[in-house]
Amino acid sequence: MKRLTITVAAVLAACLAVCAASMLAVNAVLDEAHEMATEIFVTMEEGDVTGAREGLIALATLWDERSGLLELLCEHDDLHEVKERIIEAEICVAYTDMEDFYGSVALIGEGIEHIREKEALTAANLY
Amino acid sequence: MFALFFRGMALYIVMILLMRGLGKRQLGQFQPYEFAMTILLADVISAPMESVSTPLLHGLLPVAAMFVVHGVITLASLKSDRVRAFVSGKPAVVVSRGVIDQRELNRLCLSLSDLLEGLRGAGFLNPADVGTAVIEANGSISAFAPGDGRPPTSAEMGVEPGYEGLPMILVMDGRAQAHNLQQAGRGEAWLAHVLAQRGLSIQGVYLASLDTKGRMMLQLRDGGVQTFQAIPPEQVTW
Repeated sequence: MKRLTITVAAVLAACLAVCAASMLAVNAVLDEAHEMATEIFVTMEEGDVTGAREGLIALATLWDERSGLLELLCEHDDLHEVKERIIEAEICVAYTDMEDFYGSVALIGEGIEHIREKEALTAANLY
Repeated sequence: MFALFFRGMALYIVMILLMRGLGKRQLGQFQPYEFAMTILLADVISAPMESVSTPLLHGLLPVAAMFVVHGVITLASLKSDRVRAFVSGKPAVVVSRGVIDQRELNRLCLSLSDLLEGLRGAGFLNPADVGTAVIEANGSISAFAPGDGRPPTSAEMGVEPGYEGLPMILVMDGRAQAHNLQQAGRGEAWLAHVLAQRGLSIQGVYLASLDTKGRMMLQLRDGGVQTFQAIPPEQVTW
């Protein structure tokens, strides 16, 4: 009985640690990515196409670098969705298709928020 | 493809570890909460096993969570009769003094044919031979003959059968079992000597056991069987 108590306590502690670490790690990456997406949006609003392109390249690099960690913790399809939108936005910038560019950047933000919401410990996720 | 293969291996190993962690009881006697967990486990673990886009952790964490809940329920059941009665139910006597309790059967939603089937499973072809029958908490039926319908015990017959304990397995597939030899208060040299007296070696023996009467049974690799008194019964210490 003592062994079972210790094992249950250890597994519970490990689970809580993994959940907390996962939430912190995912949120850190998502915060950074969301901030970059917002900056890209603002940069484009100011008419700085080169700045927006550089911002998108930086965002794509961040997403690729952190995908190893994120794939351990999040649904791969959700991560791929954001990656697709980043590429879409890059193509829009290259062809100066502003209308679709804003749509793609908005969807990047939506994809990031979707991952965050799925990871969050909220009542909506519990029922 | 490789990912699916290795995921399958990893999750199977996790399942084995989990089943070991749940204890031996899990294998043969499911309590209701254990049965529920086993059904859920199979479903939870199969999702990340067959889909590479689902992180392995999404399968492992629910399994760990179920292990924790199972452990807590088990501990609570060991500590509290109320909890045990709530999660596992109570045994119910359905045959007492040879009379079937119809009300109890109805309460348990069991038909007479269910009871008769259970009694046959317990070794009673004729329900008239049953003195007491109990539906255990795990759903199995235990049945007992009335006092005047069972064979007499050696104590009732006034016979002293002597101590009967677990026989020590001394050789398995040509390999001496050092731990069992030590428990029997002997060593490998003693075993080799005993066997040599009969023209045998340890490697030539498929199975050797020493019972609590001091008799050694040998099954040889060539199929022969020998039984002889290896040590005096008074030297049996286990």
